Amino acid sequence: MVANLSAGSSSIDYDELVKEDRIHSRLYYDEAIFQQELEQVWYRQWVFIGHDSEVPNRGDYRTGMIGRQPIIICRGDDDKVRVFMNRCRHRGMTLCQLKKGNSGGFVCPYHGWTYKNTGEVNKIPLEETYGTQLDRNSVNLIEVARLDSYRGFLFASLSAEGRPLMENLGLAKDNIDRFCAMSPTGEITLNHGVYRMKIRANWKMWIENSADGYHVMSTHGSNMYLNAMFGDEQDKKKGGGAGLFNELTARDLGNGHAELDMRPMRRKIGMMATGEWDGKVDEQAVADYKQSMVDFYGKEKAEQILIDGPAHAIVFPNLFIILQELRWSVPVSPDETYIYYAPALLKGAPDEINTMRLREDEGAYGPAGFQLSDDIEVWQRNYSGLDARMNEWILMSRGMGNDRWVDDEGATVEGHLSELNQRTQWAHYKDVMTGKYS
Amino acid sequence: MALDFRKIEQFLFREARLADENAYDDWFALWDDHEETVYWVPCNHDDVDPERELSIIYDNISRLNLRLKRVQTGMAWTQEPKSRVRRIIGNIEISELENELIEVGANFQATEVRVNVNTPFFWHGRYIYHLRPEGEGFKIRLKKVLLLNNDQEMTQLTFLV
Ligand code: FES
Ligand SMILES: [Fe+2]
Repeated sequence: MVANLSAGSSSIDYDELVKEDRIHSRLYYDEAIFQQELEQVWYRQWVFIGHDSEVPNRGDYRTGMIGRQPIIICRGDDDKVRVFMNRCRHRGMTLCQLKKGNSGGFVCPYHGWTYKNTGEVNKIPLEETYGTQLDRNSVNLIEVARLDSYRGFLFASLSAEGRPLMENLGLAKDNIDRFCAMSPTGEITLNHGVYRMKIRANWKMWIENSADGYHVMSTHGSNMYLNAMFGDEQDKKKGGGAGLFNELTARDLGNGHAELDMRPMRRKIGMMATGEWDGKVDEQAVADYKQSMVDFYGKEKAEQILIDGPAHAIVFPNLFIILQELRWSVPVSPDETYIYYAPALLKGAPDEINTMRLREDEGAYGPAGFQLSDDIEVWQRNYSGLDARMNEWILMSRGMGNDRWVDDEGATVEGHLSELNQRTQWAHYKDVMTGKYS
Repeated sequence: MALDFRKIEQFLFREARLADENAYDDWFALWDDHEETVYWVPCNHDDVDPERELSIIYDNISRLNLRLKRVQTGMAWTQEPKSRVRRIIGNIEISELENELIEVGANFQATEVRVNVNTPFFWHGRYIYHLRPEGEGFKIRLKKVLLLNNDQEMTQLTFLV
């Protein structure tokens, strides 16, 4: 007798639902599984919430979400960045309504309690009438259980227990380094606007796709065609059928993190990561940028950085480091996910280079982008397809049994657009959901 | 220059209809082939500095051309099949700019129907045009689309807004 895996059956057996080469569709649409994910993944693991350059000055704040829980990221008057639950300590009202701003503190309109931007409660109207019923030290804003950062990347966890951030990042740390290395000061800034999008799909479809090299030829067929027809020489090398995309490797970075490694392709093309807008390159700005890279890193390293280009990796469960952007997700329900795509500008690079990064972002990403709009369409049709339930298995076996090797950095690697990345995400997901990893 | 309100209004209605009906070539022909031409949809707020901030769309004429070519490849899945769109334009205001251009502001409401979604999508906002008179008609130097929801989580925007 085959176990009843479908939604509605009361037991959720992750060993039965997640197999090495396939996973069951129920993992995407089951409300009970979604609730367990909030507890096991979103409220326990390290979750990416933003970058400290979004709150550069004292008093700067930005609101956000960890799972379904609203937060405020705030740099206090003491220059320390904290993350508060966005909720008044009195009777629970949402404290901060705005997406971002600068303030000495927060005022709750309901009964007028105020808080300093360091989180301490400030004014409590008619406080004396509480008598001995209220200890004002016990009603400061609640901070997340753990907050840590690496190169300005802010991660939070709502669980006091668990392994340290750097241990969780493991090999993925190198991807953050490579992303920042594109900057001639080693620093990036993320406060230049953000795409806010909602997709009718499950949050796990987004991370699967983000580390997937196999979809590019088909999902982004329109762009392959444009590159082949109207692109420059570099575009043409990339375009045309599988072309050099076949050179990309899937890298299992451990702990559910996965990289779609562009370096093998870029090293063949000798592609230099410099901006252009519709084939027009600002030669002077590019020369200045390259010189500033050489000044900071030395000639050899600078050239290697420019050839290898920025990283392209998913940090489980919700950070995607890609080209000139940082992206992160917020789960809303089994069938809805919010995704945020923010361009990172390179501190110290010529203005023209940074402006070109914005133009590249606009061309490819965002609600009207030439690539992302089709990714979104594909995720949504992917989710809709799950309504057909005669056979609910999703296949992830591509590349199994092919060559696999461990590289110098210790990552397991497969070529030929393998689905290794998706398999490693799901294996880690199972460990998290069953409490084997925390 | 005497501003002919009727003529400008008719131009806007025609531009809107061509966009609604995905008449890509005819719509593109309304644009000014000029290095300063911009098709612009700001992101996060209306007053974006394009040198330092992201827009949803910031197309020069060459990228606008690519945008239209892309949706005609048959592989731009968001527009396969094409959105069905109708929009209403109103509250038109007209003023002259110094450089021979005419600035036109207009509110709009657009309803978009996608083949695989049975609830329509609604888009609202204000258009700002800079039009250059040419012969009996106009060429679009700037179309800026101030979406009411440009700071909210939104779905794809791939019809010609
Ligand atoms: S709920 Fe905030 S002051 Fe009462
Ligand atoms: Fe994609």
